[in-house]
Amino acid sequence: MGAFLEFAFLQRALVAGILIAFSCAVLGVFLVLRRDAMIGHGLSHITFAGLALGLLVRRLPLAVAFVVAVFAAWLLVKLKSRAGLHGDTAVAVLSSGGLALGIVLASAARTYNAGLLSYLFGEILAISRFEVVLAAALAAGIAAVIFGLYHKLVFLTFDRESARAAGLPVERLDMAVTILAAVTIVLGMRVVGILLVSALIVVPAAAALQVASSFRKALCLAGTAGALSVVLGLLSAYVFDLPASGAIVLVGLVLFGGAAAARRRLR
Amino acid sequence: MGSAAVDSALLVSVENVSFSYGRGLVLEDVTLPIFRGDFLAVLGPNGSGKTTLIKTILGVLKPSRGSVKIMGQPVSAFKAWERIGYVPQKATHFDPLFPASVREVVAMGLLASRRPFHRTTRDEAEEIARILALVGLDKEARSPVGRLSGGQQQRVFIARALLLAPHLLVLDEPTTGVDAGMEEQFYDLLSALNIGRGITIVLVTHDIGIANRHITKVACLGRKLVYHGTHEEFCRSAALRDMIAGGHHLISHRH
Repeated sequence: MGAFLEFAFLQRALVAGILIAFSCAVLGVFLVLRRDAMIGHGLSHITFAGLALGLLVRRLPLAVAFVVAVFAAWLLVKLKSRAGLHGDTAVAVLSSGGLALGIVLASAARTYNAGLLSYLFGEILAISRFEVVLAAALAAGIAAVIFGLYHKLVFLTFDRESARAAGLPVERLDMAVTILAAVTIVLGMRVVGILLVSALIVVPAAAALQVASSFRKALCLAGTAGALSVVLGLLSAYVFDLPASGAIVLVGLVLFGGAAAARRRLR
Repeated sequence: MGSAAVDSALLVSVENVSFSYGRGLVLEDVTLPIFRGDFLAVLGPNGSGKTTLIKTILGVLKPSRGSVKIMGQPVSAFKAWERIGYVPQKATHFDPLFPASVREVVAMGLLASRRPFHRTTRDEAEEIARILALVGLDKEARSPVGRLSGGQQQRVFIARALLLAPHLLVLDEPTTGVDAGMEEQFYDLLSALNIGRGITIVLVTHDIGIANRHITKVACLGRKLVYHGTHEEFCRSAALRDMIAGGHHLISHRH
């Protein structure tokens, strides 16, 4: 473990990974309970289109992906509320459109290479100092929004119809959560890649919900499970020479299995 | 009774309201006054516009034509939503894994109406305990809401609506999936709230069955308002006979 922490790139990976996984997991609790778990999957596919566009125009692919993901989040909320599409249908429409567009743009940019693969499968060990700062800002932003809107978000998550009838600004709250999810996914993409980033949102949250007895405990447990996945995933990747992204998600799944078993015992 | 007195007694005024989903007209030219102290049953078969009508009253849906006023204000300008309690049709269809106790669910509406970072005050905690005792759930306050029976869960949602001391309580088919014994207790509770606390109640239902003993007025919908009047008149009216002839069983067993 001591040797593991001697490397600066591993230190950066650990700090940024913990912050991003924590943010993903906390948002995941709201999304899973709203049965919007696939939103992360959909937004990650659209992020792929953004990346490909960035690679095509040769301008800061991460920044372009960020703009495209936020726009897609806005569009998703509008599609659900205005076009009357169910959540999963709206996600499927945008997700397939994003992936198709990404394939076409990546082909046009002739970027089916290691650069693109690093976004698909993640490259946590290549995280820069600037990305660590971004991850810290993201975690602080998410904590501020969730803390500030906590009671409204919990009411909306539990009973959407009553929250609307009580005069809560349902669409604006939806927009806040979905845009935060989009921003988180763009950063999470560096940790585990586009293909697995939705796991950072869903798996720790699903594990926490197996055993949590209150909403606050669910948020804390999910954040802890996300952070633990990164720590143990990176450690096992270091020790056993595994790809970090896969190891992180597999650790998360083991934690989920443990939580599900604990729930059965508690019954 | 003068007109001012009539107006102050008027809690909700639905005037010539029509609503359509795309091309399908669901409500057509419905005019329905709801007075303080009414225990109004809104009846009608599936697709007759019952839920749509209450959603226009609650401001969730905007009428295609006509207007809705609550306490004399157009619904779009109405701000005092804490005065309106709502128990939705699918209130008990939440995720059973939702990590919240009965007490937390009851407090949700209250806390969401407060400023950010608000923590429950001692007075609020006492009021929550009192409301839980009123609906007979004081012993379950700390139980996870997902572990209660359907009837108990409905009482949790009523408690949540009551916590803000509403003038009007709107319930959309609240006894769906609740057994007959629980249903009877549930309507006894509603009646106590209506008579004892003066809360106006609007109850959307297919079947007035057990509620029959408690309701004072009936509105019968079939896209248009087919009937609106007292319960006694309704039992003698052609509207009831027409609905029964149409295959919709509105069981009436007044005791």
